[in-house]
Amino acid sequence: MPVPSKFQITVNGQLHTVEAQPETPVLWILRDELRLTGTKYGCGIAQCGACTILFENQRMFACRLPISVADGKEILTIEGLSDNKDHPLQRAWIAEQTPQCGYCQSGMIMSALALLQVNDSPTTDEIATHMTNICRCGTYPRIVRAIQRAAEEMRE
Amino acid sequence: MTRSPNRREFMFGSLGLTFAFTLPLSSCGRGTGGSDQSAFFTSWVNIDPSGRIVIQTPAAEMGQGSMTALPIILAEELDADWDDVRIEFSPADDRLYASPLSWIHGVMLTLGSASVAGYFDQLRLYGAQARRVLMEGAAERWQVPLSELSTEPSSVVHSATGQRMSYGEIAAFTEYPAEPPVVTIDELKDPSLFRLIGHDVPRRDIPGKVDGSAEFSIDMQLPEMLYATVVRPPTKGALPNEIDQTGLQDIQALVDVVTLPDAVALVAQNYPAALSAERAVNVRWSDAGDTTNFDSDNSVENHVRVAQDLKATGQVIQSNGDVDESLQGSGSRYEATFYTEMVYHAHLEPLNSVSWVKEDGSVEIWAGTQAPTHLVRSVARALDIETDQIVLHRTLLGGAFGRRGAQDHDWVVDSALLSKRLERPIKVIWSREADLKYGRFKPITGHYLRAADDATGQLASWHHRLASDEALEQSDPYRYEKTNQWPVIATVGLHSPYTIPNVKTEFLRTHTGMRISPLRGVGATANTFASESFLDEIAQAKAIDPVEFRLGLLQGSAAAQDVIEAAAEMAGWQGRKSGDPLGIAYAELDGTLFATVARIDKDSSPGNILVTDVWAAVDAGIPIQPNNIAAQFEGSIIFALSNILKERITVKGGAVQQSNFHDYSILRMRQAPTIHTRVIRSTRKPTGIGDTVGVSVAPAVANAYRELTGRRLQALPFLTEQPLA
Repeated sequence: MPVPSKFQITVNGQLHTVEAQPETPVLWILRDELRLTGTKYGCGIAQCGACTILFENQRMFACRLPISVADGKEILTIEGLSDNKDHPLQRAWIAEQTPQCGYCQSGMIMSALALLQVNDSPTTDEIATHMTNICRCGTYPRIVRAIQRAAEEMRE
Repeated sequence: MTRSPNRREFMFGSLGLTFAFTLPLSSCGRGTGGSDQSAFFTSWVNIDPSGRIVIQTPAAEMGQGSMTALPIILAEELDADWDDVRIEFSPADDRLYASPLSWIHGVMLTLGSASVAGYFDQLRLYGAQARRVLMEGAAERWQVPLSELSTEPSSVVHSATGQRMSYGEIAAFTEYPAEPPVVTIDELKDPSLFRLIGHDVPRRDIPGKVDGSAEFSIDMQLPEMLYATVVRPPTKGALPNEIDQTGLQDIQALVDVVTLPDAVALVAQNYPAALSAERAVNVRWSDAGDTTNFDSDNSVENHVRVAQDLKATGQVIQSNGDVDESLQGSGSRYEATFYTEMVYHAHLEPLNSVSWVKEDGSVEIWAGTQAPTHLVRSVARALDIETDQIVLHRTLLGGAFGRRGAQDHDWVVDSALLSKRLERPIKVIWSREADLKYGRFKPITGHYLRAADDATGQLASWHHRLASDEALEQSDPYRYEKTNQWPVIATVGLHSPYTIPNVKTEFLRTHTGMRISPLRGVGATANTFASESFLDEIAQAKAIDPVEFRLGLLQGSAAAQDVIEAAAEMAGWQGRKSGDPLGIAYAELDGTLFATVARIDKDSSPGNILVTDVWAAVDAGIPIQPNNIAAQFEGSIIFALSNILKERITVKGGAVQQSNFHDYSILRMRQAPTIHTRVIRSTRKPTGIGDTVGVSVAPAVANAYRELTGRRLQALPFLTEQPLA
């Protein structure tokens, strides 16, 4: 096994240098090294979406993204979504009282952000096709409403 | 009728006792702290001179919203300004915070949709007593009669003189008395005056859940903390014999491989290293004996056989009239067989905990639990220490669904034992694979039902035989003994809600040896699937409309008829065309009455049923948080649909065959139906929410499928249409 190496990643606009095994998933760097615990571990195999982040402005599962691939790249997590916790998606999520246990919701919001970046007025069908993350509590209907509410606000 | 310690009877039976509560003084000065602490503090509510009102909440917050709903009830009667209220999780202490419900037997438990229903009267009286003390304090200061005072949010007002004082000002000079004033039920607020109850107060846990700041136990970090995973045997009861570590040599961050009583732990400086070690280690386990032979397919067949074998008499759960005789009458006879398979909880936050066993023997624990005092007792036993040496920090739960209520708290004992051994704080996270493969599942059930009409064609007898294992024995041995080993989990929902002259329901215990657990909806999920499918089949045979048939059997209950009529009306049942794939089901659970109508897509086939719409009408008593109740019903319906359309645990040779979400599917947004809920504005006391509506989804879908195809689905999940013998 190779010795740990140093990597540089920009997370939420801040440059960080971390030492890790090259194959270490970014998920654990974010959570345990940078203490950004809003990004969650749910399955480790890119199935549930609880670890969804934006990587170079694209939706990505942090549990399967090696730190070596992220070297020199930019990452956005839920903590970097807004300065005052008032991104239209966050406000819409609160307005619809969307979360239940809440564990999947960071990933849901980041996934929704990726959708709205390419589609500013998604239909219910487009939302359901894009949003493949698992919510065990069953908040899907409110997530659809929250995304459409946020989209409307962002268009204005 | 057989007297039985049925869950629902316990609940109703407890109502007469509920007005003896007295808000206890705080036994310790916890809560507000600081130099400006007033003398106005109790175990449930503290008011400090700044006007801040801290309310302790005993229930776990696992998504159901009790963290907000319970303090609302106290704040309503206190007449608190909600903006002044802060919420804290109460300490783990059964003497102060146990549920008042008799069937919970004096412990803190968040389960069975029982938090709001259980604490409702107590919290109202506590709030009213605290308000009375504040009014008495103001009356004395102003030298006016108490009867001339009233309250406005967080203030006492003397309208004759226009004087007013805030609760904070009063708390600065008012001590909460050792003998609190007596407040009776008649002095509580008239529901028409409620400002908070029924008015959709935003949930307090939600802002932190949209910005990443909400703290689950998995998010806890401590200095010098190590990380661990655990490997458990594939079969229940096996013990670690030999650990082959050859695959572990290259994992530099690996700190230790520790043999626990029933597991092997891989401890590392970081979690990915522990995960790598979990995949690389090779443990040889002892022979687990009989459990190695467990095969879920065989077990399903056995459950069906046991249910059908009338030579074996079961434990009688309900008995009215004489079923055996009435089944021999001259009218039409009906029979049907059903079964249900194992389901995994799939809480999205894998089981985890953080423990810190310190040099002085004291212990701090961070964990999400439905049973905090059981957690403390289990860890104390494992470490051979006293419970008062343990401080539990209750965190939010990333889903629970019954799994985080297990009395033994295996996922917490792991970290406690490891922290003691390694003398460092330890975070144990069960990998998803470990969480699933060593899961404790909803047990398999088999059902055999018979019914018969009398000579006039009226449904006169009903016989439901349930074959199942009983999860309570494993999940909560304390309560299992307290209920005299009554099958509390398996038999929920076995009582027929209908007026039928002769009814018998029977329970036949199977001892499977599998790891099993209560799971959201408990036995009612399986029992309602069987009974409401069967009832529909009888209606079909009689060529009676399924809604009319149910209404006819519920003539004694206007409330039940109301929810059925509401659901039918919402779904456009009357105007539906022949062959329109709609199905209805009715059930009662935890005191709540609900009817569900489902519509399925016309291209549906077994294994590929698409549910397009679900309509649910519910009477759950006084709604505390109507919008949250609707959210819980939406969630409960989707959870149930996932269970019945997607989920199946299979076991071969004692070992679970699934390992993660690629081979254990959960319903995704794409397959979620449009959901329409109606919460009936009832004046009954609040009853259960989270467990309830979902249990009527399986039969509603099966009945819609029958309408579409003419064929009856007999097995949960709906992956096959194979008829049973």
